[in-house]
Amino acid sequence: MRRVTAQIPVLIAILTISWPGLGVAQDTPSDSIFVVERGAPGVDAWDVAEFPFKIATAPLYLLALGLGRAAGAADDIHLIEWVTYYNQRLNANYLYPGAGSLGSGSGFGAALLLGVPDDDRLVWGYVRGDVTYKQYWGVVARIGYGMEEFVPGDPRRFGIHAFGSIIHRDRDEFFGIGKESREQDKSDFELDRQAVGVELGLAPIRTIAIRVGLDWSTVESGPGNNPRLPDLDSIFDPAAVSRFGDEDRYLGIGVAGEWRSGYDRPLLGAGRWLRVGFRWNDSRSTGAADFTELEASAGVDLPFDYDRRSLALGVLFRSVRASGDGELPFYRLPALGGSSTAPAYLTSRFRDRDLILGRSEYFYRLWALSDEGMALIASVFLDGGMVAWDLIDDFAFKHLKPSYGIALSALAGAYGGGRIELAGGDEGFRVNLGFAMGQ
Amino acid sequence: MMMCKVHIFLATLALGALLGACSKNRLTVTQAPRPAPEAPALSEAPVERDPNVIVDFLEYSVRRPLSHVFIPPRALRSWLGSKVEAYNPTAEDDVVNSSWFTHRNGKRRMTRDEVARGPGDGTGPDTSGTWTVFRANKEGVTPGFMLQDAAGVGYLVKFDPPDYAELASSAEVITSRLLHASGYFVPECAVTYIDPSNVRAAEGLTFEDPLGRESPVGDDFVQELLRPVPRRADGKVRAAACKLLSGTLGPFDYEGMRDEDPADSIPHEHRRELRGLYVLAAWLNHLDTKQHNSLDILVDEGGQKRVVHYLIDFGSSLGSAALRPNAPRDGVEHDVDLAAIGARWVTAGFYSKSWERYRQPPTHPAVGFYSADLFDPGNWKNNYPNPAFQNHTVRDGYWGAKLVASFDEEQIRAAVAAGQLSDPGAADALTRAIIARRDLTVAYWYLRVTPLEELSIEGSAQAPILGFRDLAVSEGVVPADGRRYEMRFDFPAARIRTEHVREPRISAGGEGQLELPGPPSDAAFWQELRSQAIAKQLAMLELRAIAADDAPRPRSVRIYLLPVEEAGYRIVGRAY
Repeated sequence: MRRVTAQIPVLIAILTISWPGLGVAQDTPSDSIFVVERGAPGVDAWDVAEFPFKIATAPLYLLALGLGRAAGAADDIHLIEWVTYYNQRLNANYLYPGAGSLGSGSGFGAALLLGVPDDDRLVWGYVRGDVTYKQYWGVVARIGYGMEEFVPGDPRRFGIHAFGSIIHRDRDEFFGIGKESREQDKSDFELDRQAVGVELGLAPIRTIAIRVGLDWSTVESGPGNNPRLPDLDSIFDPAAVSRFGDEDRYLGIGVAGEWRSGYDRPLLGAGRWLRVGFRWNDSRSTGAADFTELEASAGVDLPFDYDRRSLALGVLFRSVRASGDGELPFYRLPALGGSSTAPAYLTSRFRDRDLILGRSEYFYRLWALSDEGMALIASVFLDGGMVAWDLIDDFAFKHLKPSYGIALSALAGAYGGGRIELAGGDEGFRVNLGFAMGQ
Repeated sequence: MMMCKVHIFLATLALGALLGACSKNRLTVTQAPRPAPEAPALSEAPVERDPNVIVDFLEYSVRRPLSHVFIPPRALRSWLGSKVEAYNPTAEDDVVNSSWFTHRNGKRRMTRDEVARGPGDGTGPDTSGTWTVFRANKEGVTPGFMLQDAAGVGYLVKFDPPDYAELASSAEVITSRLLHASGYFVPECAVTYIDPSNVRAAEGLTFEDPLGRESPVGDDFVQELLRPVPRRADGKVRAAACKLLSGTLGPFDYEGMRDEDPADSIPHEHRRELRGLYVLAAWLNHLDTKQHNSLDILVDEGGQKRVVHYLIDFGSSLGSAALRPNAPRDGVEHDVDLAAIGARWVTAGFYSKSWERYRQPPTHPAVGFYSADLFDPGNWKNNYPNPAFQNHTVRDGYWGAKLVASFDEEQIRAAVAAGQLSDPGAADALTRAIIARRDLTVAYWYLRVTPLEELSIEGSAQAPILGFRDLAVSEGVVPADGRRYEMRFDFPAARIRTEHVREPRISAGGEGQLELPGPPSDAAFWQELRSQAIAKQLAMLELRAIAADDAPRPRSVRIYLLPVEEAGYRIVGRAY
């Protein structure tokens, strides 16, 4: 059997080599003598040169053949049409399935939204459940007035809603606090978070949105359950992981404002944005400190060359500060690392009170079918970010952790999209894969 | 033991390959008179082919291009443009009439009416009574119907997309007329106007929905399918109606042969007619040239069965992409063009194609985007790679360009008129675009060969003269004044070998003459010559037009001459 298997590549190469054809003559019958330059050539030097490559790549040939046949079979049974059909049937019953991944560390998984019947769209709501292969499961329920999140493109300018959520994360990774933390101190911990709250959204003009929220939450941390990683408390002193193993209850009040201009297209569109948010967290647990969170971000997307290419620049700043006595929970410190912040580093690789991140990415379109909203877009990026106990005192360009690399994004219209990136930094190279389907 | 046999087989193969290394198309000299080839009769009806369109797309758009990455010699060969010539040209570098192609306008100028009529009588379906739908499906937003007209004749009826009245139906008819006049087999298509109230569902009509489910439908459903189709002021809907062909065997593949057909003996990718079709498809922007838009038909002629090969479905041609107007990208890049994608990727987006910076609007709503602006006749791309097109060489291109050049403005206007565009401005714009693309096509290919035709030997046996018509001159591609040729004359039997640059006098119509060295007149020479094999008697005249500095170096034409005592030489073959 093995011998037969070993000969398959040879046989494929033989079958795919070009051989002289046996052609029936087709000549003008007007003359008894004629000269033509025609007919099949014999095996030529090119065939000889290609032959070993054909043998070497025969397994790929078989794989491609198999994939092609599988795609053909899927087409024969109208697979995409059936998936679309059932998705629409679910949507008609206010169920919105989806799948996705946020990149390295977050795993990938499925989500299911259950909507509330809302013919006039005055009252809306959903229950969202997420399960990921790697890191967490969660259920979020929201109900309210206004639909700005649930139905993309709905220009409601006012919204109020209440929400409740239960999220369990059982293997978040931790490396220590501060910019000097080490990758080899990788450990894990568990978080259970429950929260309820209300949120008010207002957009007085199209380019400006303001949100105000009030919520109550309880969070409990504990040892992680990844058997390949040591638990956080076995590596770090209790002082370095304040509030580990405790239950923290907080009453939070937040306000955020956003200015956004442009963006008629999701990628390679022109636009600018500025976002500032402030949140005050009042501790309801003994030993935990009250603290404030500030987040500010801004960015600009500059398409050029007939919108074939684009330059995106952005900056993000996060800061927390405790007030009064008590400890600041270690998991509330801003984190740097992972595909959404610094893609060359593991998720939440760096944590500290302050975080700053600068991003630049040059996008260029490789392919597009505009009618179908399908596109393939490549990019080259260079980011730099750092965490610090006090950014004003500690900031120096030499402390910035660089992330540079290339990425490929695929947009598949209503079906979703994905991105794969190869990112390099001080701690080597990483490949991140992110995708979203459905919601 | 088994492995040993494999090794012996491989060694044999390698030896054979080395012996045949660098071989080209065979030079064949034939003496015996031959009748026109009779297509061998079919013993039984071939099996109907039903290839999967997704498999076909992935094969030619993805797997084949990627094979260039994994098989570097293939990429190198492609980059060097090393291709074998078509297997079936005649001694005049043409093809014989066959079930693939029959000479029409290229050999005998068709009248305006003949062009406008197409393969049938040009009248189209009988619209005087009721139409009966006997097959229905939905293609995007428009329905696809098979209907019987009032006379009981079956038609495939295709409608225009909702916002582009006349777009697809005119393209279907106009392109079919021009391809038919060129020599290809196409179904009878005509623009027709259907009163929806006269359309009935046949008894037992079923409809296949996008999920592949068939269910019985009636008149109401047919009316519902017709609802999005643009209506005219009189309530009728316009459509292209193509007469159904009986005896269908499914599409022909543009690669390989149909095994059951003994007459199908030349790999399709090496057929001159299919390679040369590239030029016509480029001219007419016939983008959807996948194998599924071809059809083999079993014809019974007095008990003799044979397969005739048709081209069908021209809704994605000219400025139409069937369900929408073409975009400037169409014709410049394949739908998935891995080479262009790869080039953009490695150059960080600095590599771009002409369409990416083109911002002109469509020619006309009823015409779509069909223009000479972005047209590059030698680098035109259809929706996805077609193996016959990919194998085309300059010789095939020149053959196709002669067909394109055979159409004059009057004939093109006649074909456009068959499309029944209601706005004279649209018809005129389309005609001008077709003519402009014709001129670009002709110029492109005529500059890449030495396009000498109508070859004759004149003068005397001692001072023979080659008469010719230079098509580049007669078509106005290059001026007659200063037209020069590198001339090489090789007559081994007479030990004559000369090389010159010649500047013959050429008329505005392209007619010119070149003096040739005559064969020796002594009897001993002729006696000795006739004692040799035919191949050793021949003289070869090679002419290469000298191009302007900014023009590509054209291929030469090799003319094979048989010495004859009465006239000096007789032309017995040529190749470009």
